[in-house]
Amino acid sequence: MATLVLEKLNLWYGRHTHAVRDVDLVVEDGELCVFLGPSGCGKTSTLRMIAGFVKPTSGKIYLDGEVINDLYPGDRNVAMIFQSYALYPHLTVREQLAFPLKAKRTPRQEIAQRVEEIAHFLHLEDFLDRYPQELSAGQRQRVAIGRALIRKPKLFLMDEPLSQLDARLRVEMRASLRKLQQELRITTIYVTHDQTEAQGLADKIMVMHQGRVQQVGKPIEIYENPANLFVAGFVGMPAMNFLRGVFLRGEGVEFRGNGMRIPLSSGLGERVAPLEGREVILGVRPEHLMLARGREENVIRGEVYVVEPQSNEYIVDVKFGGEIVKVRLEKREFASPPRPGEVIEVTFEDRYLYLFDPVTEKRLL
Amino acid sequence: MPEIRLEGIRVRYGSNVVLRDVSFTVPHGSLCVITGPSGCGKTTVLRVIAGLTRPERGMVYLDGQPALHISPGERDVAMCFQTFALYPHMTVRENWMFPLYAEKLSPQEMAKRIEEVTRLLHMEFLLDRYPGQLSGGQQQRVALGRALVRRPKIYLLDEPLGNLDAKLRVEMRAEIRKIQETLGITTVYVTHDQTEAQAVADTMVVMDFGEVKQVGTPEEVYERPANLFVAGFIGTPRMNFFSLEVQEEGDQVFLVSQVFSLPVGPGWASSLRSWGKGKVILGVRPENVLLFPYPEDHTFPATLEVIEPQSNEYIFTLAAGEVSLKARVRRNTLSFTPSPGQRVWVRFEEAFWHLFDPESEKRLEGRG
Amino acid sequence: MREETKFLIRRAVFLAVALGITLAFMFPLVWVILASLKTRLEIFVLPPKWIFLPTLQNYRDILSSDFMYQLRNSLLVAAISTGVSLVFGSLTAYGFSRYPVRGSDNILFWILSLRMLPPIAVVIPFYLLFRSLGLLDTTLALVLVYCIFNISFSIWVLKGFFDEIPVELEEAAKLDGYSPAQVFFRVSLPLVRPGLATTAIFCLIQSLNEFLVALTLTTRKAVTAPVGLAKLQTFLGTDWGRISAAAVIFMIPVVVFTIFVRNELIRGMSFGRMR
Repeated sequence: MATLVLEKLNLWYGRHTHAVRDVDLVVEDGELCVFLGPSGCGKTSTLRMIAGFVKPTSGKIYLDGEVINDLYPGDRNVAMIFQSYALYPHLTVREQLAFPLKAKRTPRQEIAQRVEEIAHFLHLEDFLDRYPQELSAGQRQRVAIGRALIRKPKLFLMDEPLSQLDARLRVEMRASLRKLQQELRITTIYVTHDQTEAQGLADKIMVMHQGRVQQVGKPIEIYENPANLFVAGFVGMPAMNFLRGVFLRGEGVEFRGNGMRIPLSSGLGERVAPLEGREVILGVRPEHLMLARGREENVIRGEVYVVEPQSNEYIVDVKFGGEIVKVRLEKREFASPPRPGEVIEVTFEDRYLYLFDPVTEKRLL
Repeated sequence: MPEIRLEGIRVRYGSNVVLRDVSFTVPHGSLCVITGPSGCGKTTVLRVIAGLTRPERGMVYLDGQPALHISPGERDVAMCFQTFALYPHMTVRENWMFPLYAEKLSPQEMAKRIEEVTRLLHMEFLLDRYPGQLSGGQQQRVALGRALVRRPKIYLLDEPLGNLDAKLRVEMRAEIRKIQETLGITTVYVTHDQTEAQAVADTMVVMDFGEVKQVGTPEEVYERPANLFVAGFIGTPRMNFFSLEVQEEGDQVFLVSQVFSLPVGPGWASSLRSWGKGKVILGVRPENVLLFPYPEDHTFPATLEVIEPQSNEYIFTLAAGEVSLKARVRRNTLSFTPSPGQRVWVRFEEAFWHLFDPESEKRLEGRG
Repeated sequence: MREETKFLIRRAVFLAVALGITLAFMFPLVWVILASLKTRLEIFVLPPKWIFLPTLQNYRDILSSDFMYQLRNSLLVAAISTGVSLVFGSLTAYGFSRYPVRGSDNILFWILSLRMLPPIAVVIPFYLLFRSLGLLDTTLALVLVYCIFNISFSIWVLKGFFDEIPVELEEAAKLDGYSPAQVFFRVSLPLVRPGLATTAIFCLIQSLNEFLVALTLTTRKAVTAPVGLAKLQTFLGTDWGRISAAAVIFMIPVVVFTIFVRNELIRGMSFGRMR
């Protein structure tokens, strides 16, 4: 049983930098929790507090019910994969794997046996006598994983482990990491700034920004029900489109902003009635916009500004009024590829509309 | 704006042949992206175009004129690097003025160029800041601007977005595309990220190990990959490949593996017969894999191993016996709620089959 | 093809000039080696004789003289002061690298300033100091003085090497359960081996070559090789053949040591490539 609890964790660097603010989190046994956020949001600092390299300014960290704040890193039974893997350049793969066990004075036979087991498990048998410089990035990562796992830790920490790999390898390794973690059922914390990685891997995501927790939840929840503007704009690729404007009643209800207007459906018009006249931020995801094909409600009418082919889709930047909105459309919806300057009309279903308060940035609808 | 043409370029570093027989044309005013895995030679091609690296063999033509003997300075080429290479002790404005001093322009002309680039890159309020005070995306724009103020004939970009956060990369690439379209400068762009390449290119040059594997538009390279490498490199997640035997039972042709047997429709069947191959490699992209909760026509069973939610989709990793494959399915088209370990039935629609010759690795043209 | 030939000609000229400069620098060394194999007369003949019958008499004379004892002193003093400075230097450098405090930069600069101490300024105070301690003409005195320069040099060089090692390697080891001391000995120190080798070479060379302090603080028992060499210039005249032989013998230990550690230096380069 390895549950991790963070209780009102705070970290100050010097007197002016509040890097981590009041973080509360519960990670259940066997869960993979992702700390997601842009650089500088506090996710790595939180991870380093859990590892023991940095002391929290206030707050407690519990591992399996015990407070570990004052424990030396080596005594916490926690293993970590660093962004650069941190493999010892002067040791062979075999020696790297054995290194953690030697610290605990494990008998030599047991060390040899466990090294063989892990090497077999991670397909490293052919490299045992090589040095890290002779290995590819993917192989080095497996050695880093092996070195972490050989100790049978209670908690597994990963600091952007895929960032050193090129784009294609990253996608492949993601699924294998996930599979590995699921098989071993080790409680894992994974730090990344890439929301694609986060969504693909996590049981639970903790989104952070400027030291604070923005939202905690399952990937699908965070995607479908973002709590505020930041989360809505951070999760999802391309990012959610945000339009500032006001709801006005004319013939029906309209959303008007920077030189543009969107006529709304009657259903939607009713729902936003209480917000009429107030400035709001309207959000709609590129993947939820589709060609209008004659539909009149919830329609954005503009001109094609940029077209980016992506596999079986086009990401089209639509310019309307003073705004630009990104739309993801399947290639097969077009007889011929859209060209800049062409008129285009896109629409969205009522349920895919999000509204945010421009000041508090919290979600209104 | 010149057209750039490379013919039979061969470059060697010591005993290493880094580029072999590289030939392609960049039409004038277009954005050509060279993409491929790390080490495939794409940066070297850029350096050959810039004049920084001399090829052992082959010709470079700029606007139809042989250009090998023309020094980099005379080729009027501007380069933008992944690491930005900004002068940290100069403000944005000074960073942009620096390359202009070399051109001996009048102060009015310099001011005009800077104003143009400022507008283009939306840097109006940041001109007097130092690079250290700017965000990654802003620094990137300063780097782009520094190349643009020179009004070069050729614009070379070496992984310009490599240092940025994932989100910023997606935002900046549309901007770069738009700038290039507006200015119409012949541009060559290098990246190892094929999604970026597809999004931005007029023409794509796909390379591996110093060789050009295919040249084409993003649509062509995605829909009709010329060989196994391009098919596996373009598209995320990677295309699924299966080594299959061609077998005939009476009138019906089958593609058979140890795990499944696919009946082949008349279109592909006649192509397979005319090629006369015993073995083929079938490629099916994850986005063209159909999944059903119950057995249907022309399906085979598999187990869901890993479920990765992605925006409005799922990326599934499935196992059928020893074979592993990936599928990309929209959440709202899925007729069931997936769970790990679940049994599902898989179909590959013939319209989306890609067939390759296992020996030559080339695409087999046929009808599906 | 015109371009090609111009390019090749430029290359050839460049190589010729480089070769010429190298020969010019190598010349004194070559001359000394040749001189050590000549008789007194042959050394001063003009034009110089390049082809001659070598004689080993000079070497035989030196090997049976006091010079060998002086050489031993030199090696002893150099080895001890180098060893001591590596030990203290590495520990201090590690401290400055991993546990900086406010004012670290100032302290480091002060340490560096010790290195810059011009020997001639301190030679007389040192003489008086060691005389009152009764340590004149002892190897201990020389070791103590050489340590001043060697330790400050070691700290500076080794701190640079420690700074190069990513902290993550040490953090990984800590997480594995090693105490900070074990981390130092099993991870950090092995990784600065090239730094240790470099420092050792420099300290050895400095110590072996040092003349002024050795001249002042020694008379008979603790005389080192450079002083001994100078003493070969007697009021009876200078036997250049013998001095050359002594010089060649003097060079041998350093060359041998460098050959031994050159692998370390090369290996150090490839470790550094790992990112």
